This record gives sequence, C-alpha cells and structure tokens, in this order.
Amino acid sequence: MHLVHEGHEHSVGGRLTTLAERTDLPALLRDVRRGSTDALAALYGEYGAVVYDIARRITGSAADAEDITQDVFIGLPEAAAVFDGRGSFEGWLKKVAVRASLMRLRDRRRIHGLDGDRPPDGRLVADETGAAIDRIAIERALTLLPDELRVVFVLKEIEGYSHREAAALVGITKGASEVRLFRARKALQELIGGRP
Amino acid sequence: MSMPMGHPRERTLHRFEDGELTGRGRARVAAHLEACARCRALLLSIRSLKEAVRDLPRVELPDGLLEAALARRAAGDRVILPTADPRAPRITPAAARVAAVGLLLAAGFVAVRVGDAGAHASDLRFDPDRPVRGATIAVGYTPEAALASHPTLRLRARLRDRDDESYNGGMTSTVVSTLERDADGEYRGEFTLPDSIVFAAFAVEAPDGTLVDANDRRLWELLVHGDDGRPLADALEQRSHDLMGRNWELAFEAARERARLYPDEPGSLSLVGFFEPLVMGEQAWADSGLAVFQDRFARLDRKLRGRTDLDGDQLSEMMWSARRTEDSTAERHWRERLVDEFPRHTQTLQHRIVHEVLSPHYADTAYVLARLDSIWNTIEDEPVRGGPGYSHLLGQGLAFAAGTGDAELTGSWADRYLEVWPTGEVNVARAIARIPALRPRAIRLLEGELARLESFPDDDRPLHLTIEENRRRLERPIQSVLAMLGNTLIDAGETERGAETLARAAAIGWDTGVFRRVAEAQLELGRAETALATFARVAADPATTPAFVDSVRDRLGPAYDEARWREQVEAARRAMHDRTLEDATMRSLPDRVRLTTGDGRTRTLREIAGGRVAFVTMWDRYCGAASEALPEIERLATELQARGIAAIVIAEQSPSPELDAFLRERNVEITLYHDTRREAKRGFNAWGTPEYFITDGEGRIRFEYTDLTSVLRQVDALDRGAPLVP
Repeated sequence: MHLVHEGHEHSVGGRLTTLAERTDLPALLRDVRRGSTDALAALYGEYGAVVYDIARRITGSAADAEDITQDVFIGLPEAAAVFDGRGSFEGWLKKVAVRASLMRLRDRRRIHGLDGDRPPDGRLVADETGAAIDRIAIERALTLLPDELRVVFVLKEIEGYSHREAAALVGITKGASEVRLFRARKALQELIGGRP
Repeated sequence: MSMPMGHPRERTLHRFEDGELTGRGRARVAAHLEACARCRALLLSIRSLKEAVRDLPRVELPDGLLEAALARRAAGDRVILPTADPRAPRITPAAARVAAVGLLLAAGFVAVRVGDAGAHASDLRFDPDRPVRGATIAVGYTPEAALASHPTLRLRARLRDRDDESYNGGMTSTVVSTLERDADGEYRGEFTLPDSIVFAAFAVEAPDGTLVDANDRRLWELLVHGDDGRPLADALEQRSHDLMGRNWELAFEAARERARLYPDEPGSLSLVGFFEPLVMGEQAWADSGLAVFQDRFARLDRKLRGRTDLDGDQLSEMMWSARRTEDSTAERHWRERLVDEFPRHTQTLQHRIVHEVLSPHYADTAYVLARLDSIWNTIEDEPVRGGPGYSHLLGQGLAFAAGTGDAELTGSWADRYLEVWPTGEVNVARAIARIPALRPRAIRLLEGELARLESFPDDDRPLHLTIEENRRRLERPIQSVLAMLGNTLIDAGETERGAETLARAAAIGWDTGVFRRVAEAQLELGRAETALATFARVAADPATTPAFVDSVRDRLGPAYDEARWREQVEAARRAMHDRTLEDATMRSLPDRVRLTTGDGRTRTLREIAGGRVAFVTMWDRYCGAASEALPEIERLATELQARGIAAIVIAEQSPSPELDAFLRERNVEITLYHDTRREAKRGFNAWGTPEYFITDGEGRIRFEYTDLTSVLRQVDALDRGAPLVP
C-alpha cells in the first residue's frame, strides 16, 4: 500500500501507467466503453484514489468506500457513455462517486435509521503541539458527524463544491446546505475542542 | 457610515467567512469585527478549521480494489452508476408505499448486478396509478443512464390473479408493452390489464434483455383497486405472495395492510398469523404476539360464527387461524363446517387424506391406494384443481403406487399427476424410473423437460434477471435433469448414452455426486483411464473421505498410477476452485450486525469473524430440519475452526437454560450467538432455518443459501491461501 496525494502513480498489471502519458483521454474512454480492461485499469490508476477518498470521507467507512470504489469502476464502461466530453472527466467522475456514496448512505439509513449509528459521543483531544487543529483529530471527528452534516461538510470544505452544487448533489436547497455546513462546523469544533 | 451593531449571529459570521454575505450586511459585519475581539476569535476558529481541512491528505487507497473490480466484471457483475443528480420525487403511490416501508429493508448494498440496478435515479410511473380491473394504463419511464441509449425498451411484468400461489417459482413473466423514447428522453407506452389480474410487478429492460432495471430488486408494483379507491384484498394478498422469498418484511407489510383495510376478512387474519411468527421469531411471538392474535381471533370468531354465507376459502382461513391460536375447540368447529359444507375443497381433501387415510393406515399400502383412488373419483371433474389437497392426493398416490412396483397402477397415477400439473415431468419421472417397464416413459419425460429448459424459455425468466443471468440460473436445473436422465439411461441398459449424458451434466458445474456416477459408468464401459480423471475430481472435493480415495485405488486396479493420480487431483482442485468461484456472489452486509452471546454480551458479526472467512448458520431450536442438521453443523464447525475459519451459528432464540439443556441433551458442544435484534436475519435476508452462508474476510456474503455438502469446497475456494486439502 502506498499513500497517494494527487493520484498519479499506480501499479497496474505490473507496469506503471499514468494518464499524463496518455494525452488521448477520449480514446481511452472509448476503449473503456468497448470493454478494455487495460484502459479501465489506466483510469483506475489515475482516478482510483480520488474516488476512494471521496467515498471514504462521505461515508466515513473504509468498507463502504472499498465497495463504492469497486462499483464505480465496474460500472464505468457503461456509464462513460453518458460523459459528453465537454467538461472535465475528473469532475464528472467525482460527482458520480459522490452520488454513489450518497446512495450508500441512504441504504445504510434504511437499515440503521436516520443518521446512521454513530452519534457524536464525546470530545476528541486536539494535538496542541503542532498544527492549530490536529489533522488526525479532524479525521476522527469527521467520522463522528451525523451523515447529513458530514456529507455537506465534505462536499463544500474538502471537495470544494459551491453550496448550489452541493445542494444539487444531495437533493436539498441551497439554504439547507448552508445550515448543514454551519452545524457541521459547530459540531466539529465541539468534537475537537477547538472552540475558543 | 455604519450603524453600530451588536454581535452578529454565529451563522452570519460563517456566511461572512464563506463569502456568502454581500453588500451592506458584509460591510456591517466587517465594521463590527474591527471593534470586537470575541467575534474575531470566533472567525479565526472558523478559518483555522477550514484551512486545516483543506490541507487534509487524501486517504490511503487499499490494495486489491482494481483486481476485485475486474474480477467481478469478468464474472458478469454490472453496476448502473448514478450519473444524474436526484430529481424532485415523482413516485407512484405504489412505489411510494414501497419506499415508505423501505425503511424496513435490509438491502444494505450498492453493489448490484445489472439486474438489480438503478431505482434511485430511474422512475416508472403509471396512469392511473390505482387502476380498477381491466384498466388501460399509460406508462412513463425515466431511464437510468445505461438504458437511455435505446430507442425502445421493454416493460416486462409478472401478472397475478387472485388464485396465484405464494413465491414466484411457477410464475411466468411477459412483455406487456414496448416503451418508446420521446423527444425529452422519457419512455412512454401503455398496456391493458387482463380482467383477472389483481397485482403486477414490473421491470424495464433493453430490447435484447442484456440490461435490466429492476428498481434495486424491489421491482415496481401495481395493485388493482376497487371502486371505493382501496386496493383489493386479493391484490394485497397477491402482493404478499409475490414478495415471499424476496422480502419477508415487505410481504408482512402487505399482509398487515390487508388486515387494516379488511379486518373482517378471515384471510386477513390468517395471513398475518402466518407472517407474524416468521418475522418476529416463534419464541418472541409465543411470548408477546400470540395473546394479541388470540384476542383478534376471538373477536372475529364471535362475528362470523353465526354467518352461513361463508365460502370454502373463508372457512378454511378461520380453521387455520384457530389452529394458530391453539384453540382446538374453535379449530374443530371451523374444520367440521369446512368438511361438511365444502367436501371437495382442497383443504378438506388435505384433511381427509392426512387424518382419515395416511395417519391411521400408513402401513397398509393397498388400503391407502384404494382410498386415494376413491377420493380422486369424487373430484375428477372439479373445474379448478390445485392446492395442498391435490398435492397430497397425487404426490402420495404416485409414491404409494410406485412403491408397489406395479407399472400399470403407477402409470395411471402418473397420468393423473400430469393431468393436474402438466409441468410436473421431473417429479413423475423420478417416481416412475424405479420401475423397469416405466423407464422409457421416464426417459421421454426427462428429455422433454430438458428440451424445454435448454430452450431457455423467456416467460420463465425472473423479472430481475438478464437473459444471460437467466441462462446461468438454469444451469443447475439442466444439470440436475441431465444427471437424472443419465442415471435412468444406465439403469435402462443404455450405458453408453447414459455415460455421455452424465458427462454433459458433469461439464456444467461442480457436483461430486454426478462425477462419481460418471466415473462409475466409465469404469463399467472399461474406460479406466478416463475414470481415473473423473474420480480425481471427486477426490479433490474436501468433503470426500480418505476411505473413498482408498477405494478408488482398489477399483482402478492396474490402471491406478500414483503420480498421475496426484497430478489429476491437483488439476481437479484448481478447476474446482475456479468453478466454485463462478457461482459466488458478492453481497455486502450492514456494517453492524449485532448478536448476543450466551452470557448476554453484545458482539458484532464482524468482531466474531475477525477478518476471517466465516461459515454462518442461521439456526432455530424449534425447526426440525435445523435440529437434525446440528451434528453435521458441529462437525463442520469443528473442522473449519481447526483450520482458522470462523464458524458462527446464529440462533433465533435468546439465550436460556432451556436452550442450553436442549444442546446438552444432544451432546452438542457448539457456541451459539443469538439474533435477538433480528439484525442477522435482515442482513442475510434469511427467513428460514437452517440456512447457510459463507462470508469472506471482508465480511461480504460470497455464498448464500448454500448446503452443507458444498461448504468445505466453497470455503476452500475462498481461502486458497490456506488450503484445506493437504
């Protein structure tokens, strides 16, 4: 295993493939649509980490993120048919990953009731020695947020969507997105003890 | 100049930081911040959080996901991805009902085959959505991306009339409409419900059947309504029948809805009485559900006792409800009325056959056959035939006749059986094949059924399956018929043809029983070399005993070669893994399936499995089959645990001294976990017992509803890293 920050390096079938080496994304997508596993592996090499990262942060669950990442790449050959090539493929794929993650959360709610089964249950101790707010504490606190708050927080603050875009993805109003972001931040500050 | 202001609301500060606050409002807050250290500190804390979050590194990507995804694709898995944002809900009332009760659903997985895909974004609408009998219905369909490229789509339906039975085993499906794409990308079509139909389930598919949108396997539903706007009682009953085996909780929901809308219908109460113990668990129902049910029955009993206009079905339902309440007096009352007033009702027949014929005279074949024959003569001309009475009459008649070895007598019962159930060829062939004179007929019946199966009749295809998935589904029945046909041919003296037929069966899927028979036929034909390879397949199966391997040496005699034998067994073992994994599924369980230990603690299934492959048994102390299987479950569990595989036996019942005593009496030393919250039942979608599952190291279901003879082989295939076979 290796840590991927920008997702440019993956071993696929014993060789390194980077999309930077392939400037012909349309041809790659065409190959993927035709069922080429090499092409699919190349796309995974480039975007697998992005998809997994989004799924992991939205669902707060590594197991769910693994399933979602697999599902996204299993479904990609068929889904790529609707990518019209006009915008960024990465942007399109990220939105697919977001929607797949939201679906997973909805399924989870069917089983566990609203907001999953991990209510915030206490403060986490921030690391006072380094950064103003410890990253590990944030990571942990994020997983403790109720799903509906974490989703908006991740979309807005980590993935950089606007409130309008986040609202469209989640299926809520822009105002609701703003309110949820506000609540998410307050809950996070409570959890990491970062309130002044 | 800004007006002086008090502290802005905290949310306003957040909007300020996010740039959402503009114009004069922004200027006022900025002015306030210059003067207010407290609000500046608050703003700083918001900013710090934003910056810290922005700098979070991407999380680590685990190994193996690509390989797993490629393997699943290669195995035929397909996933329809959500490529569009959620739309404003446009759900039919029927679908809305499904969605409402969907809170109970156990479908905790996104990972779906094509056949299960996509209701989240697709949408099937009916107009009218509460049709009366025989209505013409306009259909609108908003497609999933993967289906949107087709100019037309097919709407397939399973149509049920009031008499259709539970489960969907014998049900057929049909294309009721071709949907055409309009300028907006929506698909439209229409169809007319036959007058007899009270309930229908639907799926939409590509014209070539390669892709199916089955609404996350829930399908779409249409219930026929009465003039008063209520769904018909028969529609709700058929809905519950259709959901049996698919989703017991939704089936129960339909039964409860029927009871709510039609409280005075005997069928409503008996349907609830069927489902409640199943969903609650027999013990929980005995503890808390039975008294309520008895009360409901007593009220209905008082209302209906004096009525003389009840039909046979209603009397029968009252008899069954009385039996549920354990009120033998009431049961006798309703049974006597049924038997007296409706002597040819199928439940009357069943009662007479069991209580007047089989129970008291089981050992007297001649008497039993004479009585069954006379019962047949009384109902031969009934216009509607079927149900449990006929099943008992014809099944027992055929079995008792075959037991006599009398070809003419058995042939006549076979005629009767096929007259009522023309699709019962396999059952009849199995019964008559033991009589030499009837083997040619058994062979013809089996060949007929084989030809039917191998034509892959589309009306037999379940709604949620693609044509290819249906072909794979039919492989097992085809293998079973081929095996039976091969054996019958050999018994009939056609050894060569029989061996060829068995070889065809063996080529379809891993079945050591078939392999053994093939090898024996090959030996009989003097083909010892070929037999050695086939016996090696039997030996490769981890369930095969060492004694069998020894016997092969003896039987092969000089043809046995140790080196070649080892090579063949190893090759067979690799083939077995591949073939076994072809049948594997991939279904996620909910994150948290909580179980109760014998000492009352709570542990999750994941904790108990501890990242290992696990053999999971759903077990019930009051189920005869589950109790009978206990020694074998224990033997397997011991063997697997010794090899580092988790063996988890989940009991319906809560821990109790009585349960401990039950196990002690049977000398069973097995650790039980207790599904007191019904989370395992829902997660596995296992409503019968015993049911067996194999989960992988990631906690996903890989083999579901499997059987004890396959467990070792399936575990072995999943756990190749630690081979079970030396």
